[in-house]
Amino acid sequence: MLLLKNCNVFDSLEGQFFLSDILIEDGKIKKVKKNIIVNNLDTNVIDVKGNTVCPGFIDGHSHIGMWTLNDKGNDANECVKPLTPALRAIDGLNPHDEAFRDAYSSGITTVMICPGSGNVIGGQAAIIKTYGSSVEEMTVKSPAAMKIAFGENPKNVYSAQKKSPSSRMSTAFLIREMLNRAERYYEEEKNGSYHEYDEELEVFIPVFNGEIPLKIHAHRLDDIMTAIRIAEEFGLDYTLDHCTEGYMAADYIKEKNIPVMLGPLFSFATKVETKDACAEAPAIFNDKGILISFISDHPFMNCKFLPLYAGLLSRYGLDMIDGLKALTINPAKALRIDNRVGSIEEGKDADLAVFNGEPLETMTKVTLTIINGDIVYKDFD
Amino acid sequence: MLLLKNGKIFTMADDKVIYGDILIDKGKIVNINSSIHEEGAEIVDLRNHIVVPGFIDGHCHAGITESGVGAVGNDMDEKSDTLNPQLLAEDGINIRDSAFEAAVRSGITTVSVAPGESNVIGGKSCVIKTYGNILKERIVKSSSALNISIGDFVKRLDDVRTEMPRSRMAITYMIRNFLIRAKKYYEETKDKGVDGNHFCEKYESVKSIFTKEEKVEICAHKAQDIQTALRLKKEFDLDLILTYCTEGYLIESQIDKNIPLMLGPYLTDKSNFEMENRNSKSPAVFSERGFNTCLITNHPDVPLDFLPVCAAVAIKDGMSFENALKSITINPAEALGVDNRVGSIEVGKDADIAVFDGDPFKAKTRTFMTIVNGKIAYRRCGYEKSSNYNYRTVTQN
Repeated sequence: MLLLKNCNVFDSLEGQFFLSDILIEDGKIKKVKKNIIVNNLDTNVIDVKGNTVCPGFIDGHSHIGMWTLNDKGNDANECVKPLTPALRAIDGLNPHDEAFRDAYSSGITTVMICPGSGNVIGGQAAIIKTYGSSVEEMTVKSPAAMKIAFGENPKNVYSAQKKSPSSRMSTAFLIREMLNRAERYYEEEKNGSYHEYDEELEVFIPVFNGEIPLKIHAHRLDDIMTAIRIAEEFGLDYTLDHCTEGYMAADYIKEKNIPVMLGPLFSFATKVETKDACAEAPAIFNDKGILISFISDHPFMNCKFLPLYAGLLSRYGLDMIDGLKALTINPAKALRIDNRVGSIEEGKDADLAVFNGEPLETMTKVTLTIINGDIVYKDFD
Repeated sequence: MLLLKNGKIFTMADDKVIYGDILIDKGKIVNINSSIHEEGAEIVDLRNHIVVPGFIDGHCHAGITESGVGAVGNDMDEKSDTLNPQLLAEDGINIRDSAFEAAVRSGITTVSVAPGESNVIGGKSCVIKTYGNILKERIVKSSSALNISIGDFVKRLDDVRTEMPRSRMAITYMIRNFLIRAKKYYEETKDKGVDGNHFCEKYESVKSIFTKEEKVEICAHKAQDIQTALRLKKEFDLDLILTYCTEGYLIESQIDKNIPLMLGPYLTDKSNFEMENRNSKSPAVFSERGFNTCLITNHPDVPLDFLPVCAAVAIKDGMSFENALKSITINPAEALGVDNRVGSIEVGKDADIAVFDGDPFKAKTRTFMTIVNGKIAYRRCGYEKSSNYNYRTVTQN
């Protein structure tokens, strides 16, 4: 058992702080209340001395462990054909990537890892914890989403190979065609009628029965609109990732009630489709009541800067409390794991981060990170 | 005339902090005092906000590689030859790059724009202001340093032509060979001039490094490459600036304290093997030991407007507030040889001033005003969540 005394607990549901102790047992939060007394010699008691304790941060879109910017570090894109839905992110995951240390030492405890956006349908994303020595130990949920990409990336990859898709029209066609086949396959499966096993269509069964959403990469507004159109045609759930120009149609996105996964704003606009990135976008979405979550897209922004980036948005109209929510309960909801993570509540996973100051302030450090009840990082005497 | 009233002024000259006013005339600072009265001057009340010299990024590629336009906006690497001392960064800068607008909004007023690092000698960098419609008027110092790169990024491994360099041996050989010939050319022609048959554009263009009018900036990550740079400095008596200097902390005792260090970028993923030993505490260590330490963004690696954030992160990793502020103001000004004009708030210097409504390194702090060459380049207008969703700076001419 582990007991944290005198915590300034961030309540991500209410967006406020309260003083409390936190008792952890078997990897779960057992009790959150003042003055917990444990008569047990095995209990490790840590006095956090009034410092702020947040639910472990959640990075909603990352390639950590799958992709480093080094020459041979890309295991996230299988760019030999544009549709590879059967590939799984966890099969490209290196649990020993040193970036995981960057993640948990900055308070990030859960990430969604996904295939890259070089392919139109890249494969299946997974949700993992950031600490562990094997894929099995780290995985929270796999598959957790189906990754789809619109816009420049697949177009650039395949037009260089003189293949389809070389235009946005073709990208949409390829997705629609595959979803049509997958829908028929799913109906046959549901009705019990005979069909041949198809590994690429099989993986769409959880998509069509609503277990997992589409994870849609789209920057430009027209790509976002195409994504919404196609997802609605098939009645599928989805999140809009990057959503760079989405602020231009925030009302429409609010009307559709779609979670948006924003980022990485902390990068140079290498691509034309990101030129209209807007620092005020998160505040615009948030003011409309859209569920916003922040993403690092690691390695494009090193995940350790995700909290820093969320904090800097306070210059652009987003309150730090809302920034904290966009790193905790919001992504937990968007990724559908809010029964396990995203807030400090009894019964949830004991994923916590302790800060020596205001959590999202530039100079604040993480002093303690706990994942599944284990202390994985400690920076104090 | 422009009169700034009631500021908390970090002058960066003799570590002085003054509570008071600044008078600006014809683009220069003409008076700094606790209370100034001037007939006919336009008055701006700074509301006791924090006033610092406009920030300086000692090494970036703003304007020479443009945001949001893809490959067509990249003019920093001339791939046809690897020894290009004759090329000038100023000839590749598009001053309309949106990076400059964002920079002004973050209080950055001067930058050194360097050519790219994929050539052994990339060309000459240029120190410019971040605001103004005419490049010539923005230039603080043309040809401020000759840029040399040592490391994996200059090896021509992908090139179909079998051309040098493909190893570190060749990189150093090429630099040394070039400098030997250039020096010989300089010595033979300095008194008697040169005739048309022997005139050489490339050697001509580096004469100024032997007269010490121009510095030599060597970009290197690995300790061994930094040592090569130090060796070249000794051999050719170069006025050296060390840029990146990622593993410099491993060989700190070998680096002479009069060599300015341009450290960075730290706010990126470790994007190549040469950065694997990067230590974010090294700016703190170097500044503590008395080096002229400057922080750089190497834009586009880190977006230019994040320069103050680089300083904030350096503070988080142990640098003092004073040293962090110096590392993006007076230190780079001295390193680049432009401290006669920028880098501190002193009478006679350019009126490049940034005003913040709090500690400039904190997340919540906003830029209140940026002044470049005495002109208000940016001024926050109340609550600035733009209704038309236009992120661009509100600029005045």
